[in-house]
Parts: sequence; structure tokens; C-alpha cells
Amino acid sequence: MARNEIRLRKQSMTSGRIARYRNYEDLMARHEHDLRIRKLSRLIVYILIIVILICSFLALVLIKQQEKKLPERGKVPYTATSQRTFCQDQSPLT
Amino acid sequence: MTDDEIQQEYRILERSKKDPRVFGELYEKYFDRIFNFIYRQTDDEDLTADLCSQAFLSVLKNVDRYQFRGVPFSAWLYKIAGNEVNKYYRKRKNSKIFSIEEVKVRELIEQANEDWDEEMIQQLLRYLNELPTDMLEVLHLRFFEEKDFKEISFILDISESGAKMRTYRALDRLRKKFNLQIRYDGKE
Repeated sequence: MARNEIRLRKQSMTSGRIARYRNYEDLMARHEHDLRIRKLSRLIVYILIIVILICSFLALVLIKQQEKKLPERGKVPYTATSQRTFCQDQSPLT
Repeated sequence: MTDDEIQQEYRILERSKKDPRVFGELYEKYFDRIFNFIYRQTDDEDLTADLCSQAFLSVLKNVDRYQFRGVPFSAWLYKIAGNEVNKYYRKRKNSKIFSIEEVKVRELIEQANEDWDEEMIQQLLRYLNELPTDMLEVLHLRFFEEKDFKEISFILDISESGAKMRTYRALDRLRKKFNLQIRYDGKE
């Protein structure tokens, strides 16, 4: 069971006293400020999404370019494997 | 509250979806009630002012999502204000405060029993202190905010029969504790 605290108040809050805290202009200003922040954060999120999309597109293009270059490298006769074989063949010790 | 008044408030809300300044009318109408509602659960003026403005801010933020569900707009306002209070207590992990006006307590006792004294009020407070929070919330809304069961069920997010049951159980417990005859006709 949750513990509560019951307090007895001698006086009720008067309208005049509450009126000190009633300020619709201030509330509207805070609301508009919140709206601006919400719009700004939404804009930032959209920009981030666009940046991520552009980066992914560029990465994809780069990967495709690399893939195109790879078969051309395969045609080069002088590779590390062929060099080792050549050296082993020429060695006077064998 | 008559159906016409409910419809009128709904129209104001519809207009305030386009122009938030229109909401000022409802703000002026309900500010005192919401302030008192929160103050009865905090007993701190500055904190109440903060939570109250936070509640109205939240209403303005979510006014687009408001849908009429057969209860006056004020029930939605009370629900949001109640959520703000609960959020505060969840963060602080403090025990919840119920600050009630002596005048109101006397009124309630007078309705039931003509003979009352200081000792009786103190006893009632002790017994109220032993009730769980959910029962106190229902009693608070029913007897201090004078809400009907339909509104209570909406505010507390429980069924209407659940709200009635909770109220009767709370009153039964109080009756058993001491022979206090709270006259209660269950009128909605």
C-alpha cells in the first residue's frame, strides 16, 4: 500500500491569490517557443536523413567503382603468388 | 454541465486547433479549478503554479489530438493535470500529499452528522491516511472536485463501475473505522 500524507488546511486558496499565477500571455509565449523548437528539431532530423541518404548513395557508387576495377587487376600477370613461384624456381639451392 | 455548454467548449477547442489564442477563453475558465485540483495534491503554491502551467502547455500541445468522448473538456484537462502530478511524484519518489480544506471537511461531516468536533476531524484524517492512493484519488475527485462517475472513470482511466466500486469501498472502510454516517446517495 502506498503511503500518503493527509494535510488539513485552515484556509482555501482565494481567487485573488490564484490570479497571481494566471498568465495566458506567458503560456502562449512558452507554447510558441516549444513549437519553434519542435519545428527546428524536425528540420534537423530531415536534414540528417537526407545526409545519411546522400552518404549511402555515395558509398554505393564507390563500391561499384571498386568492383569494376577489381577484374582489371586480375589481368595483371605479375602477382604476389606468381612472384613467389618464380623466385622458388630460380633458387640455386633447389 | 449542459450539452450546449459541452458543445460550445468543443467548438472553441476546434477553433483553437487553428489558432491557439482562442484557447484563452477555456484557460481563464478552468485555471482556478485546475490550480485548486493540483494544490490539493501538492500543498505547495509554487510547485502548483509550475505543474498547472505545464498541464495547460500540454493541453495546447495535444489539442490537435483531442476527440470528444462523451465527457466535458474539463475531464480531459483534469486527466492531463493529474498525469503531471503523478509524473512529479514518480520522479521524486515522495509520498503523495492530499491537502484538504477544513471547511470542506466540515461541510461533508455536517451533511452526515450534526454533531461534530475537532476530535472527529482528526480521526477522519487518521483514517483517510490509512486508505490506499487509488481510493483517495476517487474520494478527492468525487467529494472535493465534485465530479460524476463518468468523468472520474475518464480521468483515472478506469471503468465507470470500477470508479463506483472504489468509492463505495472507500466509504465502507471509513464507516467501519468509526461509525461515521456519510450520507451518500450515489447520485451521478
